[in-house]
Amino acid sequence: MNQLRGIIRYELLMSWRRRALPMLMLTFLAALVLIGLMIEQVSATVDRGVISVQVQDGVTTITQRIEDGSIIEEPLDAEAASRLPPWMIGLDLSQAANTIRGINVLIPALMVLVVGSIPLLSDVIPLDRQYRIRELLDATPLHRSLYLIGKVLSVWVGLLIGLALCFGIFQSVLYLRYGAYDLLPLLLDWLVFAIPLTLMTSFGTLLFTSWAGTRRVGLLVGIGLIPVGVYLYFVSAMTLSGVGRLVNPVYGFGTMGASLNGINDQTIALESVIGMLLIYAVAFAAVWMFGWGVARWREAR
Amino acid sequence: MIEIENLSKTYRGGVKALSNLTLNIDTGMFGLVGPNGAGKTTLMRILAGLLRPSGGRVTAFGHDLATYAGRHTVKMNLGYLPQELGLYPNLNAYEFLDYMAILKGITDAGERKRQIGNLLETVRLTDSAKRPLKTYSGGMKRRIGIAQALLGHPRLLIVDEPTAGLDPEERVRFRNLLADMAVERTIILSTHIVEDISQSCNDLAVMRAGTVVFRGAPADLIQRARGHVWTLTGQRPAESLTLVSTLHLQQGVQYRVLGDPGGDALPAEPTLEDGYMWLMQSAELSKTAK
Repeated sequence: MNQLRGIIRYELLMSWRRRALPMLMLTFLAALVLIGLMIEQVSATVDRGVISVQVQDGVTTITQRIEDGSIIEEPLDAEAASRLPPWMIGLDLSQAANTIRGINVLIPALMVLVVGSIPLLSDVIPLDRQYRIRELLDATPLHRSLYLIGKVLSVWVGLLIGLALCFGIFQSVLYLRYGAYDLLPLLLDWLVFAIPLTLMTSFGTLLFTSWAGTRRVGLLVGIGLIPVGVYLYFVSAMTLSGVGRLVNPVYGFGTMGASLNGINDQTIALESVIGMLLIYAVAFAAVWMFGWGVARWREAR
Repeated sequence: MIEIENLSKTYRGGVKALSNLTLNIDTGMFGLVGPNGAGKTTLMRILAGLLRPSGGRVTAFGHDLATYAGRHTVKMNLGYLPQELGLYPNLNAYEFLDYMAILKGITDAGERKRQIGNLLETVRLTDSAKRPLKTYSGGMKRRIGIAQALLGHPRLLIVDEPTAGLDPEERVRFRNLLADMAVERTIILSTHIVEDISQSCNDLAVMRAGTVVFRGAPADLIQRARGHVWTLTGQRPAESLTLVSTLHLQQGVQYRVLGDPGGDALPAEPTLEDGYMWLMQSAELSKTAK
């Protein structure tokens, strides 16, 4: 464990000093800001009109913003109330709109993170060979698997710290710019979609570039891996990005092509989320076997 | 005690680096000399557990290097300085040594700090300990390499060209340091600088084309050249003789040669370098004769 802690600590330090991790996170933050600004116009229409629908003692009350900007609150007759979709009842639509805006900014920005992370992380293992440090490392009682695990964990710890910081900044900006939002669906998207996708991409990048002897070869392999990362992103986005619907079906709006009218008919299939995460687990194992196999093959030569 | 029996190593493409090499190495300083391509580095890499031999058997302190457990145990007691030393350019000397100490299994932070402090002092890098390694000169990097090899008080120290790039003062200091340490451990020193061997080793092997062509004390190797070393002043020696050195003096150019030039040549007291040259010349002649 001491060796593992040492590798994580010093790999993190070196990755910070190489500026790879800060650059990646700054790129991601910049993508969040730019995409946020780009979709601001589109989503501005969502938070006009109905603000919330509340049912109390059998009476349905609707709160709306009218054209002059003032807010009115009035009871609905039974027939109009029956036409409202059930997900709307009790929901603060202004908060929901802000949350949906957040989710819709996060999803495309993750594409930038995935594509950016592959070349930036493709030299983590090849650099050790380029620096000719491997001979020294191999002469220590460090097991080769532990070396690989240490490399992967150091990148993961760095990414998790970076993502946590980005999430903190992102939600603060979201709150300051648009006001209150629903934290849970946004957090779910972050935990179930953003983090596994980022970890899987970095894991694959590290192990598939592990055989490269120089930084340049690692980078070339990394560039070749970008289409795989993009494919993984789309598959994950289709399955996992609408996970907020576990909280309320409205949080599927804008994700997976869901339209406002179709929200009532769509519920998130928990099985598909679990299935996708299982596929991730299998992919992790397969990639690990590849990296470990390459390491053994190199050792046997 | 290191026991090497019939060791051979053939690289891909059929390049034979070691051929049926048998050698026993005891506690103390052991010198390994030989021309480029003799197989010294291959032998050292096998002893460090970095390369698998193609054949033969190696045991170190009773542990068989063919097994993972054997290699692991040997690595726990190993200090290794490779010929081509690599360092992490973004770490400073203290951080690098701390990282290497952790990987070597020195778990106690206090002990690491103490050892690193002492070693930085020993290699005279205390003042530069906080500077990134990428700003170090070649000699300073070599000294950091030496310091990392000494971490953890290894029982077996394998150093490949340790004094390359060091200034004369540092070379002498490092040689003395190794000699002091050799009292209770096995130190294998591979070098092209015969003077390093003559000043510090009481046992040596000369390698050529993957085999050991001499094994014994430096004095025995010197003895082999006795009667074959001559100095000539003025006239240039014949092409058939091996020229060891050329010295420009007031009375003319003085040549030091191996062989018998006859004439006005004067016999000279052989050095270890003469012994090495004589051995190599004899080996070449016997190869040609075959």
